[in-house]
Amino acid sequence: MIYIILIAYLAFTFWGSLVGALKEKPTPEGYFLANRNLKSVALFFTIVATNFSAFYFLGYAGEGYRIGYIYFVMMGIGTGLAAIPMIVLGTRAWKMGKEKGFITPAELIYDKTKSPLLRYLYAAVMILYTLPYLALQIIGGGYLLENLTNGDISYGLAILVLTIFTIVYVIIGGMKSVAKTDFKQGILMFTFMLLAVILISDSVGGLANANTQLFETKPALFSTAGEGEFYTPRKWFSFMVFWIFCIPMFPQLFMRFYIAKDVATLKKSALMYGGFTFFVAILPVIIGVLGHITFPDLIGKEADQILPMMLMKHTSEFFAALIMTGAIAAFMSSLDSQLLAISTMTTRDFYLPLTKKELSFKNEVNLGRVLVGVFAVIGLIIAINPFDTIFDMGKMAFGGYAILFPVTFAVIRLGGLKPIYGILSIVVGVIMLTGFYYQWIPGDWAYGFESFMVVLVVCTILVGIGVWQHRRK
Amino acid sequence: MMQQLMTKNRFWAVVLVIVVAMLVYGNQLPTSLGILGLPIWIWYFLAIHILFFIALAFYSRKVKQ
Repeated sequence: MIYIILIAYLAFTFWGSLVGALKEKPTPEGYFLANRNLKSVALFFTIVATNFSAFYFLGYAGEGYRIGYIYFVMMGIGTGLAAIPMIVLGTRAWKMGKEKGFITPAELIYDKTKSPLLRYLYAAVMILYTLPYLALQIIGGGYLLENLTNGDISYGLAILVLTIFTIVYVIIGGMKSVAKTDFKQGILMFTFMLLAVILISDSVGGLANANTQLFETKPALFSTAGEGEFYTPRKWFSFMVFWIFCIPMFPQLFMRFYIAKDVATLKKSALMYGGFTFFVAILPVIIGVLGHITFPDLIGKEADQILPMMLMKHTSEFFAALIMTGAIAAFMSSLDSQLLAISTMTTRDFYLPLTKKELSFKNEVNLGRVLVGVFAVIGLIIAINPFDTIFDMGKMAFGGYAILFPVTFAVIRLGGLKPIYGILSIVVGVIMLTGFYYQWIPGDWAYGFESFMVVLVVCTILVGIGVWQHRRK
Repeated sequence: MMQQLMTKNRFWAVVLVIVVAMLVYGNQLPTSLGILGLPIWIWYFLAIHILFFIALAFYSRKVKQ
């Protein structure tokens, strides 16, 4: 039964998106950006499916169990606020991209600053933080598939199968297939999650009843500070504003600014994204909180399994397998976008400018395809034997992306900056982020805020000086 | 230009009010249960969220990028 669901789900969401892909004439804009022709609903779903990886299924429910309902405010409202930079930065980026044919974020930075070093650094940071994040998708997908099949498919075989599957359809279909897959994946993901909440709530005696019962025994799950007073006011502030700086800097998301059909399309998609996240984020968190009724004593990482445990306990085996297959597909729909983004950046921000070669459209696309395979294999090698630094870098990835925000804002909205300050901002930002993470810099220096806030302030000051110098000149 | 500035100011005023409300009061809201047994502050945030996106839609429609 599980194998039938798995094959049917993946065939529907992924292989169905390849129809017609081979017949199209390859151009860089077609392969990397789906001909800049995505309409608002499709664009909205591709943004959602790219951002909501399997962490949405497992992590949100786990944190709901550990922290309580407040976690969804941080994710639902916090990530929803990313709609602001999508409109403020995205629409300008779209116009610049359309006028000058940009495909990668760093091309835009280079056009305004004329600094090759800033371009390489900017692209390198994006790739540096995406690669471990990509490997983590493969690792997570592998563990899920192994668990779903009760170990019939080993972890090693699982990561191999998932990676090959992803490579093949990204290589064949490019952004157009990725976007079609995201559209179907997005609809299925949230429909099933809503159904899961309804079924589980019903099974535990109704949502209102279950919540009232839990409120009496574990009131902290219902507080705005969360279990263990997790969200102090300063942490609260840090997390509420963090996503505004972080999400638009995901390379796979920034490139989606370029693929909109027009500015109105991009604005509509951003508004839909912002409005939608609130309703979507609460679903797995509800399941996580209700998990305390059925499994009251989970400790630490055990809580990350609360969603599959609740599904197995309160729904049919068929439905549980369907949801977990959706989680595997969510891993893959993030992985495909990341592969496409970093192969595009390597082709256009490193290979072409460094070799100064003029490639034909066909050869450029083919090079991108080869790099998709290369990065997928690198991710696979990391996933086979993951080392601690990969997990550390994965955790730092969001902060790493946010470091690029001040430079990007200065270039897109403030007319540019003196490149040396942009370079300084990125270098200092990466050093500080790493320093805070490994505690070379004392955590006290963040004054109770999350350390990335201090890093962002320093980066913004440096960029501010750069903008001032640029204008003075 | 003036009209654009007014629209922008109105938008940022709304944003400011929302951000201040979230930062000052969001973390200190009382905990009691509301509809569906969900904490009452969830409904407060839902209202803010909807208001915010109405403001953002208004801003993005009026102001030329």
